[in-house]
Amino acid sequence: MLVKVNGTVSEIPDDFSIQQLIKLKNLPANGFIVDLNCMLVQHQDWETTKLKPGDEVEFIRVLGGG
Amino acid sequence: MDDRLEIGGLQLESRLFIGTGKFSDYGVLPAVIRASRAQVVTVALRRVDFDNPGENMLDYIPSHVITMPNTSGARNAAEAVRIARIAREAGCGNWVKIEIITDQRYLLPDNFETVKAIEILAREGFVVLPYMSPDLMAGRRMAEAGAAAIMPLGAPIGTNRGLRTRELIQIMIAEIDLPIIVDAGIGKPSEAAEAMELGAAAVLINTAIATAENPVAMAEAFGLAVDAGRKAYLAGPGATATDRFARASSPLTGFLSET
Repeated sequence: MLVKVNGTVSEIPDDFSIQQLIKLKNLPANGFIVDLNCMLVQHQDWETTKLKPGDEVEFIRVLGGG
Repeated sequence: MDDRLEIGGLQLESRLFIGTGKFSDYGVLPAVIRASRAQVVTVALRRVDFDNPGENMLDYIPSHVITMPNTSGARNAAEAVRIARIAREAGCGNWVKIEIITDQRYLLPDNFETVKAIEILAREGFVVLPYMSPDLMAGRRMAEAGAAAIMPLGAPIGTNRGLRTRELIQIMIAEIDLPIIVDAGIGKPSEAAEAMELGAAAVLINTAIATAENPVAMAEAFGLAVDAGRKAYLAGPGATATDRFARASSPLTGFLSET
Protein backbone atom coordinates (compact mmCIF):
# COMPACT_ATOMS: atom_id res chain seq x y z
CA MET A 1 0.00 0.00 0.00
CA LEU A 2 1.08 3.59 -0.51
CA VAL A 3 1.65 5.87 2.44
CA LYS A 4 3.53 9.13 2.84
CA VAL A 5 6.55 8.93 5.11
CA ASN A 6 8.23 12.24 5.96
CA GLY A 7 6.61 13.79 2.92
CA THR A 8 7.65 11.08 0.47
CA VAL A 9 5.23 8.55 -0.99
CA SER A 10 6.43 5.05 -0.11
CA GLU A 11 5.26 1.55 -0.90
CA ILE A 12 5.01 -0.59 2.24
CA PRO A 13 3.37 -3.95 2.95
CA ASP A 14 -0.36 -3.93 3.72
CA ASP A 15 -1.36 -3.87 7.36
CA PHE A 16 2.05 -2.63 8.48
CA SER A 17 2.24 -1.23 11.98
CA ILE A 18 4.16 1.88 13.02
CA GLN A 19 6.66 -0.39 14.77
CA GLN A 20 7.23 -2.42 11.62
CA LEU A 21 7.79 0.77 9.64
CA ILE A 22 10.31 1.95 12.25
CA LYS A 23 12.20 -1.31 11.83
CA LEU A 24 12.03 -1.06 8.06
CA LYS A 25 13.59 2.41 8.25
CA ASN A 26 16.31 1.20 10.64
CA LEU A 27 15.38 3.73 13.26
CA PRO A 28 16.52 3.33 16.86
CA ALA A 29 14.07 2.06 19.50
CA ASN A 30 13.14 5.57 20.67
CA GLY A 31 14.31 9.17 20.81
CA PHE A 32 11.87 10.49 18.24
CA ILE A 33 8.22 11.44 17.81
CA VAL A 34 5.66 9.76 15.56
CA ASP A 35 2.91 11.89 14.03
CA LEU A 36 0.22 10.01 12.09
CA ASN A 37 -2.22 12.15 10.11
CA CYS A 38 -1.51 15.12 12.39
CA MET A 39 -1.99 13.17 15.61
CA LEU A 40 0.85 11.99 17.83
CA VAL A 41 1.13 8.26 18.39
CA GLN A 42 2.49 7.48 21.83
CA HIS A 43 5.38 5.03 22.16
CA GLN A 44 3.22 2.35 23.76
CA ASP A 45 0.89 2.36 20.74
CA TRP A 46 3.52 1.94 18.01
CA GLU A 47 3.16 -1.85 17.98
CA THR A 48 -0.62 -1.87 17.69
CA THR A 49 -1.23 1.11 15.40
CA LYS A 50 -1.73 -0.16 11.86
CA LEU A 51 -1.22 2.02 8.82
CA LYS A 52 -3.83 2.42 6.08
CA PRO A 53 -3.40 3.44 2.42
CA GLY A 54 -2.98 7.20 2.12
CA ASP A 55 -1.78 7.65 5.69
CA GLU A 56 0.78 10.37 6.31
CA VAL A 57 3.43 9.51 8.86
CA GLU A 58 6.03 11.94 10.14
CA PHE A 59 9.03 10.85 12.17
CA ILE A 60 10.22 13.92 14.05
CA ARG A 61 13.11 14.49 16.36
CA VAL A 62 14.28 17.21 18.71
CA LEU A 63 17.65 18.62 17.79
CA GLY A 64 19.82 21.63 18.43
CA GLY A 65 18.34 24.98 17.49
CA GLY A 66 18.56 28.65 18.40
CA MET B 1 16.96 42.14 46.68
CA ASP B 2 14.95 39.59 44.70
CA ASP B 3 15.90 40.22 41.11
CA ARG B 4 14.62 37.00 39.63
CA LEU B 5 13.00 37.13 36.22
CA GLU B 6 9.38 36.03 36.23
CA ILE B 7 8.06 34.45 33.04
CA GLY B 8 5.12 32.10 32.72
CA GLY B 9 4.71 31.87 36.47
CA LEU B 10 8.32 30.73 36.97
CA GLN B 11 11.04 32.68 38.76
CA LEU B 12 14.35 32.46 36.93
CA GLU B 13 17.69 33.19 38.59
CA SER B 14 19.51 33.37 35.26
CA ARG B 15 18.90 36.02 32.62
CA LEU B 16 20.94 34.16 30.02
CA PHE B 17 19.04 31.83 27.70
CA ILE B 18 21.06 29.55 25.42
CA GLY B 19 20.36 28.15 21.96
CA THR B 20 21.58 24.62 21.28
CA GLY B 21 22.15 24.91 17.53
CA LYS B 22 25.51 24.78 15.72
CA PHE B 23 27.42 22.88 18.40
CA SER B 24 29.84 20.44 16.82
CA ASP B 25 28.92 17.79 19.34
CA TYR B 26 25.91 17.49 21.68
CA GLY B 27 28.28 16.07 24.29
CA VAL B 28 29.57 19.55 25.11
CA LEU B 29 26.10 20.88 25.96
CA PRO B 30 25.92 19.80 29.63
CA ALA B 31 29.20 21.61 30.36
CA VAL B 32 28.09 24.68 28.40
CA ILE B 33 24.79 24.86 30.25
CA ARG B 34 26.55 24.39 33.60
CA ALA B 35 29.16 27.07 32.86
CA SER B 36 26.57 29.56 31.66
CA ARG B 37 24.14 28.84 34.54
CA ALA B 38 21.35 29.14 31.94
CA GLN B 39 17.97 27.80 32.99
CA VAL B 40 16.26 28.01 29.59
CA VAL B 41 17.53 26.46 26.37
CA THR B 42 15.98 26.38 22.92
CA VAL B 43 15.72 23.33 20.67
CA ALA B 44 14.28 22.70 17.21
CA LEU B 45 12.05 20.01 15.72
CA ARG B 46 12.84 18.42 12.37
CA ARG B 47 11.99 15.32 10.37
CA VAL B 48 14.24 12.38 11.15
CA ASP B 49 16.87 11.84 8.49
CA PHE B 50 16.69 8.09 7.92
CA ASP B 51 20.28 7.98 6.67
CA ASN B 52 21.47 9.75 9.82
CA PRO B 53 18.88 9.49 12.59
CA GLY B 54 21.14 11.19 15.16
CA GLU B 55 21.04 11.21 18.91
CA ASN B 56 18.25 12.42 21.16
CA MET B 57 19.09 16.02 22.06
CA LEU B 58 16.89 15.87 25.13
CA ASP B 59 19.31 13.37 26.69
CA TYR B 60 21.87 16.20 26.98
CA ILE B 61 19.68 18.76 28.70
CA PRO B 62 19.63 18.59 32.52
CA SER B 63 16.17 17.96 33.93
CA HIS B 64 16.06 21.23 35.89
CA VAL B 65 16.49 23.28 32.69
CA ILE B 66 13.44 24.49 30.76
CA THR B 67 13.45 23.23 27.18
CA MET B 68 11.87 25.77 24.87
CA PRO B 69 11.21 24.43 21.38
CA ASN B 70 11.39 26.99 18.60
CA THR B 71 9.04 26.87 15.64
CA SER B 72 11.88 27.30 13.16
CA GLY B 73 10.88 26.04 9.74
CA ALA B 74 7.42 27.58 10.11
CA ARG B 75 6.51 29.95 7.29
CA ASN B 76 3.21 31.07 8.75
CA ALA B 77 1.12 30.99 11.89
CA ALA B 78 -0.54 27.66 11.09
CA GLU B 79 2.81 25.89 10.71
CA ALA B 80 4.14 27.46 13.89
CA VAL B 81 1.06 26.39 15.84
CA ARG B 82 1.41 22.82 14.55
CA ILE B 83 5.06 22.62 15.59
CA ALA B 84 4.26 24.01 19.04
CA ARG B 85 1.46 21.48 19.60
CA ILE B 86 3.66 18.57 18.47
CA ALA B 87 6.46 19.69 20.77
CA ARG B 88 4.19 20.00 23.78
CA GLU B 89 2.52 16.67 23.19
CA ALA B 90 5.93 15.08 22.77
CA GLY B 91 6.86 16.17 26.28
CA CYS B 92 8.78 19.41 25.66
CA GLY B 93 6.73 21.41 28.17
CA ASN B 94 4.54 24.38 27.37
CA TRP B 95 7.13 27.07 26.67
CA VAL B 96 7.52 27.90 22.98
CA LYS B 97 9.64 30.35 21.02
CA ILE B 98 7.70 31.45 17.97
CA GLU B 99 9.96 31.78 14.97
CA ILE B 100 8.18 32.40 11.67
CA ILE B 101 10.49 33.20 8.79
CA THR B 102 10.10 33.27 5.02
CA ASP B 103 12.97 35.65 4.27
CA GLN B 104 15.92 33.38 3.55
CA ARG B 105 18.54 36.10 3.09
CA TYR B 106 18.33 37.87 6.44
CA LEU B 107 16.15 35.37 8.33
CA LEU B 108 14.07 38.28 9.56
CA PRO B 109 10.90 37.08 11.28
CA ASP B 110 7.37 37.79 10.10
CA ASN B 111 5.85 39.94 12.84
CA PHE B 112 2.33 39.75 11.36
CA GLU B 113 2.13 35.94 11.28
CA THR B 114 3.77 35.87 14.71
CA VAL B 115 0.92 37.89 16.24
CA LYS B 116 -1.61 35.40 14.82
CA ALA B 117 0.32 32.44 16.22
CA ILE B 118 0.55 34.05 19.67
CA GLU B 119 -3.23 34.55 19.78
CA ILE B 120 -3.86 30.86 19.18
CA LEU B 121 -1.11 29.42 21.36
CA ALA B 122 -1.64 31.75 24.32
CA ARG B 123 -5.32 30.68 24.39
CA GLU B 124 -4.14 27.05 24.49
CA GLY B 125 -2.08 27.68 27.60
CA PHE B 126 1.38 27.93 26.06
CA VAL B 127 3.99 30.28 27.53
CA VAL B 128 4.75 32.13 24.32
CA LEU B 129 8.02 33.96 23.65
CA PRO B 130 7.95 35.42 20.14
CA TYR B 131 11.12 36.13 18.18
CA MET B 132 10.47 39.37 16.31
CA SER B 133 11.85 42.29 14.34
CA PRO B 134 12.02 45.19 16.80
CA ASP B 135 9.02 47.41 16.28
CA LEU B 136 7.04 49.06 19.04
CA MET B 137 3.59 48.58 17.48
CA ALA B 138 4.25 44.93 16.66
CA GLY B 139 5.51 44.41 20.19
CA ARG B 140 2.33 45.96 21.61
CA ARG B 141 0.19 43.70 19.44
CA MET B 142 2.17 40.68 20.63
CA ALA B 143 1.71 41.70 24.24
CA GLU B 144 -2.04 42.15 23.72
CA ALA B 145 -2.16 38.76 21.99
CA GLY B 146 -0.83 37.09 25.13
CA ALA B 147 2.94 36.83 24.76
CA ALA B 148 4.79 36.14 28.02
CA ALA B 149 7.85 38.11 26.88
CA ILE B 150 8.98 39.72 23.62
CA MET B 151 12.22 38.76 21.89
CA PRO B 152 13.47 41.39 19.44
CA LEU B 153 16.59 40.69 17.39
CA GLY B 154 19.78 42.67 17.88
CA ALA B 155 21.09 41.76 14.41
CA PRO B 156 20.34 38.96 11.93
CA ILE B 157 20.73 35.41 13.25
CA GLY B 158 24.26 34.07 13.28
CA THR B 159 25.95 37.34 12.32
CA ASN B 160 27.48 38.22 15.71
CA ARG B 161 26.99 41.87 14.71
CA GLY B 162 25.77 43.03 18.10
CA LEU B 163 22.99 45.46 18.93
CA ARG B 164 22.40 46.97 15.48
CA THR B 165 18.76 47.60 16.42
CA ARG B 166 19.76 49.17 19.73
CA GLU B 167 17.51 52.23 19.66
CA LEU B 168 14.41 50.29 18.64
CA ILE B 169 15.08 47.83 21.46
CA GLN B 170 15.45 50.75 23.89
CA ILE B 171 12.08 52.09 22.80
CA MET B 172 10.45 48.73 23.37
CA ILE B 173 12.04 48.40 26.83
CA ALA B 174 10.73 51.85 27.75
CA GLU B 175 7.21 51.37 26.41
CA ILE B 176 6.20 47.70 26.76
CA ASP B 177 5.39 46.26 30.13
CA LEU B 178 6.73 42.76 29.46
CA PRO B 179 10.22 41.26 29.68
CA ILE B 180 12.17 42.24 26.56
CA ILE B 181 14.72 39.53 25.73
CA VAL B 182 17.30 40.36 23.05
CA ASP B 183 17.52 37.30 20.82
CA ALA B 184 19.89 36.98 17.80
CA GLY B 185 22.92 38.91 16.76
CA ILE B 186 24.76 39.27 20.07
CA GLY B 187 28.33 38.22 19.31
CA LYS B 188 30.32 39.04 22.41
CA PRO B 189 29.81 39.06 26.17
CA SER B 190 30.30 42.86 26.14
CA GLU B 191 27.28 43.12 23.83
CA ALA B 192 25.23 40.97 26.17
CA ALA B 193 26.28 43.24 29.03
CA GLU B 194 25.29 46.25 26.95
CA ALA B 195 21.84 44.80 26.29
CA MET B 196 21.37 44.26 30.01
CA GLU B 197 22.60 47.79 30.79
CA LEU B 198 19.91 49.11 28.46
CA GLY B 199 17.32 47.34 30.59
CA ALA B 200 16.75 44.12 28.67
CA ALA B 201 15.25 41.44 30.90
CA ALA B 202 17.47 38.72 29.42
CA VAL B 203 19.39 37.74 26.31
CA LEU B 204 19.34 34.60 24.18
CA ILE B 205 22.71 33.56 22.80
CA ASN B 206 23.49 30.70 20.41
CA THR B 207 26.06 31.27 17.64
CA ALA B 208 28.47 33.31 19.76
CA ILE B 209 28.83 30.40 22.19
CA ALA B 210 28.52 27.44 19.83
CA THR B 211 31.12 28.73 17.37
CA ALA B 212 33.62 30.03 19.95
CA GLU B 213 36.96 28.25 20.09
CA ASN B 214 36.12 27.25 23.63
CA PRO B 215 32.33 27.14 23.97
CA VAL B 216 32.37 26.24 27.67
CA ALA B 217 34.64 29.19 28.55
CA MET B 218 32.57 31.48 26.35
CA ALA B 219 29.37 30.31 28.01
CA GLU B 220 30.85 31.19 31.39
CA ALA B 221 31.92 34.60 30.06
CA PHE B 222 28.40 35.30 28.83
CA GLY B 223 26.95 34.31 32.18
CA LEU B 224 29.24 36.75 33.96
CA ALA B 225 28.55 39.50 31.41
CA VAL B 226 24.81 39.18 31.82
CA ASP B 227 25.21 39.39 35.61
CA ALA B 228 27.48 42.48 35.28
CA GLY B 229 25.17 44.23 32.85
CA ARG B 230 22.15 43.60 35.03
CA LYS B 231 23.92 44.83 38.18
CA ALA B 232 25.04 47.94 36.29
CA TYR B 233 21.49 48.62 35.14
CA LEU B 234 20.16 48.29 38.69
CA ALA B 235 22.99 50.46 40.04
CA GLY B 236 21.90 53.32 37.80
CA PRO B 237 24.77 54.42 35.53
CA GLY B 238 25.83 58.07 35.64
CA ALA B 239 24.89 60.50 32.89
CA THR B 240 26.74 60.54 29.56
CA ALA B 241 28.00 63.97 28.52
CA THR B 242 26.39 65.37 25.38
CA ASP B 243 29.49 67.42 24.57
CA ARG B 244 33.15 66.42 24.34
CA PHE B 245 34.43 68.47 27.29
CA ALA B 246 35.91 66.85 30.36
CA ARG B 247 34.49 67.12 33.88
CA ALA B 248 37.38 66.74 36.35
CA SER B 249 37.37 63.81 38.72
CA SER B 250 39.83 65.38 41.20
CA PRO B 251 39.35 68.77 43.03
CA LEU B 252 40.22 71.90 41.06
CA THR B 253 41.73 73.83 44.02
CA GLY B 254 44.65 73.39 46.39
CA PHE B 255 47.06 72.22 43.76
CA LEU B 256 50.55 71.49 45.10
CA SER B 257 52.17 73.48 42.35
CA GLU B 258 50.25 76.71 43.16
CA THR B 259 52.34 79.70 44.31
